[in-house]
Amino acid sequence: MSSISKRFQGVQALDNVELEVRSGEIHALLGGNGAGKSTLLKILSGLALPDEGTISFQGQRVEIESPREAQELGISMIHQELSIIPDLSILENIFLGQERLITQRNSWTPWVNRREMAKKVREVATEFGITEVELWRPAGEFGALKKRSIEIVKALVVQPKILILDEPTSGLEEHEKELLFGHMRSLQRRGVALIWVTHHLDEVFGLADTATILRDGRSVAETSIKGKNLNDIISLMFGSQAAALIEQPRIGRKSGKTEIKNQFKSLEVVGFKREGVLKDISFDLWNGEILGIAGLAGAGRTELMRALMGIDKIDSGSINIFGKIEKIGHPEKAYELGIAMVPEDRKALGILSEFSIERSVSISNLVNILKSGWLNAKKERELASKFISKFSIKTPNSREKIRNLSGGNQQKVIISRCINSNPRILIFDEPTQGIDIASKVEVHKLIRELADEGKSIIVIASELNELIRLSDRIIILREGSIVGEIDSVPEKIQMNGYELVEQDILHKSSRVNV
Amino acid sequence: MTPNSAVDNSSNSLRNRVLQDPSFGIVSLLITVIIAMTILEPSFATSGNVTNIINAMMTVSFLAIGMTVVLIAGGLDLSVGSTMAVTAGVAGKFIAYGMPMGVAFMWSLAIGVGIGLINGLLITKLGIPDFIATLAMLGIGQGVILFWTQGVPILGYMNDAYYYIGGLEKIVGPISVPMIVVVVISVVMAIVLKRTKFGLELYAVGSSPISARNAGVNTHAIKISAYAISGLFAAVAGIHIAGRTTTIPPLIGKGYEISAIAAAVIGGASLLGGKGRIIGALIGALTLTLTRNIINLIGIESSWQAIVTGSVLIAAVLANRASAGFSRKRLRRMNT
Amino acid sequence: MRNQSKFSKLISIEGVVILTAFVLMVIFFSLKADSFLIPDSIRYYINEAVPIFIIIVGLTFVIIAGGIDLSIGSVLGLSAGTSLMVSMWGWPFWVAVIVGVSTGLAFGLLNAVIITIFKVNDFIVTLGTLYIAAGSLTVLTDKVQLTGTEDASFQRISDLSFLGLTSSIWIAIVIIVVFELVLLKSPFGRRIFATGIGEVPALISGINTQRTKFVAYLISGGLAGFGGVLLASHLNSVQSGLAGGYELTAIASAVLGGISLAGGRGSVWRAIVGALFLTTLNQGLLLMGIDPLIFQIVTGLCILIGVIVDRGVYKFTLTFSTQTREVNSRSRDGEVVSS
Repeated sequence: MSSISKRFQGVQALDNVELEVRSGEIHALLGGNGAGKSTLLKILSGLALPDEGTISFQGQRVEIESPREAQELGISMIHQELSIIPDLSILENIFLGQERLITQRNSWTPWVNRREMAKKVREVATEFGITEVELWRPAGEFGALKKRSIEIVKALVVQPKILILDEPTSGLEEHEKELLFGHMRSLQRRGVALIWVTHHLDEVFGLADTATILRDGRSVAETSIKGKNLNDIISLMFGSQAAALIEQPRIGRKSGKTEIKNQFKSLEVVGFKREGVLKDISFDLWNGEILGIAGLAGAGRTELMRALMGIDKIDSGSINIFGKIEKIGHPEKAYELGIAMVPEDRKALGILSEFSIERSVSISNLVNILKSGWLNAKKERELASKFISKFSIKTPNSREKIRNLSGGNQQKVIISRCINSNPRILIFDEPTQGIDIASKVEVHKLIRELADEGKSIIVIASELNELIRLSDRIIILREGSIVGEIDSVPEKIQMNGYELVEQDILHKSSRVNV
Repeated sequence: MTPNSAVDNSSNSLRNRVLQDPSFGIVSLLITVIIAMTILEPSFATSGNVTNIINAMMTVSFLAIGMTVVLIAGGLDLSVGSTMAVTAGVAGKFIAYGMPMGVAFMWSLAIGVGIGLINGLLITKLGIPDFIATLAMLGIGQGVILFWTQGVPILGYMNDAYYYIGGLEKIVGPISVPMIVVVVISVVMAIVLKRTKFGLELYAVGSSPISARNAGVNTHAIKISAYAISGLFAAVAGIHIAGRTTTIPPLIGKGYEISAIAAAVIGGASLLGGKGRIIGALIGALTLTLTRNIINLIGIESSWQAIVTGSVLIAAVLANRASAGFSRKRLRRMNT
Repeated sequence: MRNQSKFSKLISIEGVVILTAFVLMVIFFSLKADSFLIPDSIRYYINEAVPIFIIIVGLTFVIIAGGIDLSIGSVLGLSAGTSLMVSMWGWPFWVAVIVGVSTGLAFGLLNAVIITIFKVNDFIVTLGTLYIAAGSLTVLTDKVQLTGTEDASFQRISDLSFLGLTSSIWIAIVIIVVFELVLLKSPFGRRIFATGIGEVPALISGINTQRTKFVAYLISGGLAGFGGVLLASHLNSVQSGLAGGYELTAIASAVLGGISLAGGRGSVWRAIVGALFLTTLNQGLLLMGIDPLIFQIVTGLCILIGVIVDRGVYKFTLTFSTQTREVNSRSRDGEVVSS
């Protein structure tokens, strides 16, 4: 019995995507960052509307215009970002919005009867480790683990027909994962259709029946899992991206530390600790090298960089930068010491939306454009023009507001801003997120040139292809600790082949033994 | 309502419930102060003074209850003082024009709710930040009452029944109509907050509007309702104060919004939303009134009141923040 | 990039909307009310409005930095009291000026510390300091009768005539020009804008947002103090409740001038245009014989209309931005969602 088929055309996020799930099927939805998975899920759960396309449920066309309507259809979702209301008790979080579905009463009543709710919910809650006492305490008191369990119980308690799971295993221990998988299987036996989004590709095997793979907003494959292995899936997910980047071979670039003259350690990070996020991280950084940081979402990569920049506070740890021991308590200090960062999530963290290109470029180093103490418009314009031509930023003029540029050009402006501050260490967090292919190539070229000039670069990239092709050396993070390091990446690629290197990283990031 | 502080000892004994109660600190302080005053100042514990305190508490209580509801839902209503003034004026003028009292009161209440609805709509549908919208309404309301009174107090509306309703005449012993109204309203609102879906949704929207929306709650409707309730209770306060002061001076209501916020916050409501209790509002109102009373008794001039209220507000908010910070630290330690 | 129509290009010029409204209003009143355009009466009411202009300058800094300061009116009143009192006690006028400005700075400091260091909500704090300042003035006027100083030089601070304008107006002009320069042309001013646009992006760009906001509140307090000195000099008497409600007018002026309360946009002169609009409106209504008490209602309405129009114009200009090939999608209620 077919449950859903869907097709829409969103120019930006989703382009003619099809998804078909049968009841009693565990259907994995896979794809890299930015592939369109969460958008698709938002549409299915009523939080967004498609521009084009249809949804059919059990053969009939439906419109899902609100989370409530999705609920009524029997669609339940476990979110990736925790959707917990901290001041409400765990019990209240579980039944909020679904009281009628839980009690299965048709009449509407203004009253809430918590005791009755507790009775109905108790069993499932205990199975996921929520004790009776905890049911009544405010949800905000608990850590991510418990909150994840609350989300799961919340979704299961209404006996859904379709269950969507968005990264449900993040933060769970082994036995809790097994518990969840057990439930997924029993739901499957009962005829529930499960749509499962996960980065942990290893988990997919042995559990999922079929997979739909998205890339750049298109569905590139729908395939049965049987008979495939990890590598097949990965190549389906990331395939042609590699082709574009292969055209830029890594020749002309000195590989590894040994080739660089006057080599010295530009940075030494010692013992960064932050409760629950960073567990005693130490690493080195050399001049002229590109250090890649690999790991799954939530492993602590961005948190580590933010701690380095002084944006987040650390409980303990110190750095040794160009030979001096320093503590960086504020990003202002980081820039003074010569560290600059191009953040991820450009829209929220990177751009100052009201600023023109000129202002965006100058902001990290205003001293550069001063004349007798005042900001000089001419100097500012010249500075911006210099970068516009150097990086081929497409814009009618330098006074254009940065928010009017395309993603790739915005990123170039941000990079210009960082370079204007004369850094010796540059951090790139997802440098090509949301950028077209041509700009991606340009940005990569830029990064390599910066390294050639002798600067030290740290790159975080979730697309392994990108990370591997860029980095001289890679360290792998998992759940707040460094679990591996790969030296001399280009040599390893030559010796063992690209796939092996990639697999190595994947396995270390996700704790799988193959 | 579930207690909102984190402790290691999670047994449910009476002792723990008392210690963990969010108002534990302020109530202990109050009791200490009351005992001290009884000993030090003979005129404090007289029945006359006590009734004074309770009577003075009424107006702020109404406003604080409404403000607590708005704060729980994550909003803020700066217009309650001027709404109270406008509705008081309506009641007074209409009765003076010959309208039957009941009808005049209906008008007051309706206008109060109306102002609340306008606030709610401005904030949810037009996206105006809550304090700007209610600040603007405050200005408009103040202007209305100033214009209406032309700088001259409204008179000539008091009648026998109103003396009772305003609390100047008691029904039985020290008990007056406003006291009964406060008790009834408190009980009703407490039940609404604790036992109805609406109450739960108020907390949800204030605590995390996005998660509440994800769960299917109509956040706009909830917020609009909260402001309507605030407006309603401001109108109740208006009707009451008109009866209590027997004339309506043009500047009536000035400064009451800050007392309402202070009382709610002292009682445990959070400016960030998601927390607050009716009993807390009453405790807060009592604290403010008691402070004023003590200042008078000791002999400090009443001109110090504004300073005290302002300082108490800031102190209460700082204390809130401090305790939130502490419980977060305790939480992190607990959860690693 | 889509081609902007001439109309929309016009609208997005800073302050064009309010200027047009202003011009229209002036035309309206000069037709309807006699004695509207007489230079003497214009000079008079502008002179009266100088203290408001001065606090508006300070408020602009705070708002653009992303905050709000509700205490400016009461602080102005209190500073008027303290400076007049000192002058009445026989101190030379420059001591009185220092005392007045220090009063303002003290409150600015209080605001700055609690808001930026203790991270308490800015309008609750400034609401609290509003009451503390207003209350302090009440206490002060209770104790001391502030009926006027005999020191002529203190009075002359505001009343000295020079090139046809009073010293008050000249001082106001100087302050407006100087601070506008600082806002638009100094590194500090640039940091104010960045902080207001987004504290997190500004932080990541290396700006000390906490220090920037701190200084903004100090400026606001200091200017409120100075405005108080001018007011005391002009009135030569101070009573409890002085300058109450000024903050409402100041916020309304900023909003009318097109300064977004969310921060990151605006300039001093736009707020001043807004203030001119309001004071001229008041004057026009007065001359037309309309009850002055309506003014507060009008001010409140202006705030609302100003905010709504500002949002409308802003959203309108946003539709002309290019958003090509972003891997983003808009959900129903406009939240941007990235996958």
